[in-house]
Amino acid sequence: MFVVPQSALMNETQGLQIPVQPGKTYFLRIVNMAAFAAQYFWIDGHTFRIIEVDGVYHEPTEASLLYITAAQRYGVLLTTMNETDTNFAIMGSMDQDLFDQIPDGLNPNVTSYLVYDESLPMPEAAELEEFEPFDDMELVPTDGEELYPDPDLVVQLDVVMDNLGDGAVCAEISLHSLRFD
Amino acid sequence: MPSLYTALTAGEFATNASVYGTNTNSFVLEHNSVVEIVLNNQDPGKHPFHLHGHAFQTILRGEDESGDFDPESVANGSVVYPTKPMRRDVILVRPNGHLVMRFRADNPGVWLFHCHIEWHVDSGLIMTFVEVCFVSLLSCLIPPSLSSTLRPNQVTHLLFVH
Repeated sequence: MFVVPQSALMNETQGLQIPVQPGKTYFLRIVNMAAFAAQYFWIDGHTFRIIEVDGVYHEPTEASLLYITAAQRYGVLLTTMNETDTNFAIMGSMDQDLFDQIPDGLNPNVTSYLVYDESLPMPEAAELEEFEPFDDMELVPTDGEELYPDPDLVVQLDVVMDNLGDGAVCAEISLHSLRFD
Repeated sequence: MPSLYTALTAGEFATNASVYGTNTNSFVLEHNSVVEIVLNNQDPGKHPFHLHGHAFQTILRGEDESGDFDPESVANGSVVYPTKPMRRDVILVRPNGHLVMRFRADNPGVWLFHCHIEWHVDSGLIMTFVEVCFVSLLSCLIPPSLSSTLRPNQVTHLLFVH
């Protein structure tokens, strides 16, 4: 059975406080360095503009909820409010669809704080009714690189995970290829 | 034997995919060719696939349960590829869905394409692209501290069994 993480972290901790000034724009570099779990990411009360994915710059596109798989990176611009009388929760939440079994008492969330004013209390974790994350397929690269011409080689991978006789998990890959000369 | 070292030492055999052994799931790519990867996820799980050495153009992602990619859907115009596709190097393939990606083999080296879930890498959900451009490869040297751990006889065995 695959191991389920015991907790979600941001910058190797929980309850991280990120102090910000009002009316400024910050570049957030978000990296999912998990071995396994994807996380939903959002900032209560705020949207941000996605400008980069996996090191490739794209036209700024506004989003409020990201789905970040293991190993993906997102660069977003966050413009803070001009004035506010509260701090806000920055949320990460593990995608539990990936877990075969959910252990009792697992908290899939990590809460950090966008701190406009340290003297104000830190907010509760923000909740979402449902997850409708941004679809990264919508992004357009800033360099405008056009679709590559028809391929010289097509590699087709059909993949499935299976269980071997002794219970071990094994990936089965069927590889086909077509070369166009 | 790391595939990169095989590529550097196998001489004329480096462009024969079988020299890397069947478990590496290797393909040899011609320099500057356009390569299209069609990934059919016949599994109910979500998999984040990662390509080393390139950011691919992500041309099509099928929804959950959309089944295998159907080239007919492109031929008959029901699916239209974007003119300026999104580019990245880790992409989610949906349960029982599919992905179509393109990249140009303009970066000589040995590059893995694999699911980035650590346990799935251990289970073998991984393949290898060998991009050969002999001039660049010959200029690459294996550090002596590493070459002393190589066992050339194993490479020879692989060559002649096939």
